[in-house]
Amino acid sequence: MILAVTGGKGGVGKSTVSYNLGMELDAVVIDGDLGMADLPAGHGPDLHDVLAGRATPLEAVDESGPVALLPCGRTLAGTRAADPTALTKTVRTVASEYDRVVIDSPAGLRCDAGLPLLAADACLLVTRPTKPAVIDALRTRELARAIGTPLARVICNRAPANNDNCNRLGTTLGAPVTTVPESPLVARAQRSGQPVHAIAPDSEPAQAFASLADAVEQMRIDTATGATNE
Amino acid sequence: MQRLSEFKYENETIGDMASLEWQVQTQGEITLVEAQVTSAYETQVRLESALSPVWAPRTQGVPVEGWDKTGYETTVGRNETVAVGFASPAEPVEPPLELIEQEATEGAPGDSESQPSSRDLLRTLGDSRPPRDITPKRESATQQQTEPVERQPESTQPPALQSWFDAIENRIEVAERLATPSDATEARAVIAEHGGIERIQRLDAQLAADEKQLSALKKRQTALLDRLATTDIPVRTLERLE
Repeated sequence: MILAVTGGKGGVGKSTVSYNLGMELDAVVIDGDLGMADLPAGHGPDLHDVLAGRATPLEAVDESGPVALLPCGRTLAGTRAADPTALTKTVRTVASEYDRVVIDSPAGLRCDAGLPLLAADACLLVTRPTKPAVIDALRTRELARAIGTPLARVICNRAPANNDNCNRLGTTLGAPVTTVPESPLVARAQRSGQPVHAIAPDSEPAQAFASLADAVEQMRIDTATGATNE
Repeated sequence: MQRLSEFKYENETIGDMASLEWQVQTQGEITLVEAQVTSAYETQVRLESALSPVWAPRTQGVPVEGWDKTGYETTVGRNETVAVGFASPAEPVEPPLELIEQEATEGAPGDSESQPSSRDLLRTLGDSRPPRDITPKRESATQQQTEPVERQPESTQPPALQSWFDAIENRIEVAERLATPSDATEARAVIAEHGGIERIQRLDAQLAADEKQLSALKKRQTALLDRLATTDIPVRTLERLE
C-alpha cells in the first residue's frame, strides 16, 4: 500500500500527518519534498542520493528512529542533481520490501507534487479549515483526478474545537474526513522528532491519527488497480 | 544561417496520400530541419530522420511527446498540416526525413485513459528543481577534471578593461596623495611632480569623468549579470543527446 499525503498549500501539516500516520501504520515515510524537506534527516544517504543514482532506495531507509524514514537532502545542489522522474521506481522498490509506504508530498502543483501522486495507490488530502487551504486542496484534488490517483480521505488538520467547517469539507472535497484537533502536543512531539503517540498516546490528536490509520486500513486500497472500496 | 534546401515530396501514385515538405538549414555546425506533413484524411505518420543523433524539441527538459531517438510519430487530422522541427549535429542529408504512414491503431499513444508517465508529468507540470545557476559549485577534484578545458579563470579581465582600470587606479593614487598631504612641503612636491595646479585641476575633472564612467559600467555590469543569471544552457540535456 502506497499512500501520498498531499494538500497543495504549505504549512497545513502534511509532514506531521505523514509522520504520525507512518507510526500508526508501521510504514516507511518517504520525505518527498525534494526542495524543502521537513522530516528529520540522519547522516546516511537520502532521497537526493537515491534519485541521483548514488544510493539504492533500501540503503537510504533509516530505521533507527521511532518511524522508519527515507529522509530527503536539504541542499540546492542535491535538489538539482536529483532526477524527480526516478521517484516512482524508488517508491515501488521501498514498497516491495516494507509493504507500506507513506509519501510526504511537497506543496504546490509542479511535477514534484504530481510524481508522488503517480507513485501512490491512493492519496490523503491534508487541509486546514481555512479558505486558502481548502482552495489549494481542491486544486490538488483535481491534479490527483487528472493523474488517476483516488482520494482516500481528507484530513482537516489543526481544527479549532466545535468547528463546523471540517464536516463540510467532506462534501466539498468528496471524501470522508478525519479531524485532527489543534493541540500543542503535536507541535511538541514534532519538535522532538517523535510521533504524538510516543509522548501522549491517550491524547486527542494521537487518537485522531490512530483512527485515521484504521480508516485507511479499512479502505482496502487495491494496490493493483489503485481503486478504493469502502 | 545558411539555407540549404527546400523540398516538397508527394507520392503521386496515390493521389490523396499524406505529403511531406521540408527545409534544411545549417547554423554553425548544427543542422536544423523543419518539416510539414499534410494529409487529406486522418492518418498516423512516422517521420524517420536520416540524421543521427536527433535533437528533439523539449519541454521542461523532456522530449516533446511523440519524439524518440530516431524520429517523430504523430497523427495528422483530415486536411490538417502538422509542422515539426528538430536539430542535429550531423551533416545535412537529402532528404532529411522519410515519411512513413502507419496503419491506424486503436488506442494511439497518449490517447489511452491509463496513468500518465513520470515524463508526461514533468512535461506538463514543469520541473520543480532550482535552476542550475543558483546551485553552488562544489570544488572537488573530480569536478575540476570534468570541467571543460577552455574555461577561463574567473578573475581574468579583458585586456582593454585591465589597462583602463590601471589608468584610473594610478589617477586615484595621485588624488589620494593630494588629498592627504602630511605637510605643505609634501603637497608642494606633489604639485610640482604632477606639472602644476592646472594639471591637477584637469586630473580632478578626469576623476569626475572616471566616476561617471565607472558607475555607468556598474549599471551595465549589473544588468548583464542579471541577464546571465536567467540564462541557462541546457548542458545536461545536450550531453544526454550527444
